[in-house]
Amino acid sequence: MITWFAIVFTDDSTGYQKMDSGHCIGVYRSDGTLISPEEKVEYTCVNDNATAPDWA
Amino acid sequence: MPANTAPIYSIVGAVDSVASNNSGLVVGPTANSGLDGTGTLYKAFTAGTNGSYVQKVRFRPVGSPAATVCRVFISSSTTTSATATWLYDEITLPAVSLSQTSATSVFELPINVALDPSYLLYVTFGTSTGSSGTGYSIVTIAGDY
Repeated sequence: MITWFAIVFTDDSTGYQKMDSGHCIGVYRSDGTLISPEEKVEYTCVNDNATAPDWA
Repeated sequence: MPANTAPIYSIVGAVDSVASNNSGLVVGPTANSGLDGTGTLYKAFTAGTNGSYVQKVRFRPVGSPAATVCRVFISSSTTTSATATWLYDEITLPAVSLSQTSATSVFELPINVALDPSYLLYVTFGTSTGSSGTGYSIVTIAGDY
């Protein structure tokens, strides 16, 4: 089942962590840009049951 | 003439935790995808003044954390940096569902190394485990020389 975590990056921008049955399958900027696993990012989950973004 | 031909043993236990070093924080909600030892790292252990032997790091789920990877760094300084802080090992942590009728799984990462005096262990998470309070209690089992 697909769910979404709402996340806040260290620069206070927002994004989403896409989850499939408890497994992360992608981290996104708020505009839907997928973040590569090689890219260094820091963020904190603020809602582990967020509404899916419009672009999803 | 070789020095120190006799084995040495720790003189006292040195159990430490991420919670004790971070005001009781359950870690995991904050992710740091970096591998270079920079950014937000959580201190898990500080070696004693004569060094310490670290046996293992133990990960106890708190709540129902999502799957992630935990990275363990060894650092020569409390000021973590790419030059002073080195990725040592990783452990896969699966998704866990809290139960009030059965124990959840515990995960252990063997370390089995002697740390230099005052060296430190830090941990990070590759992805978030969930909202505040959902993550891991991390305890380091060691002994001071």
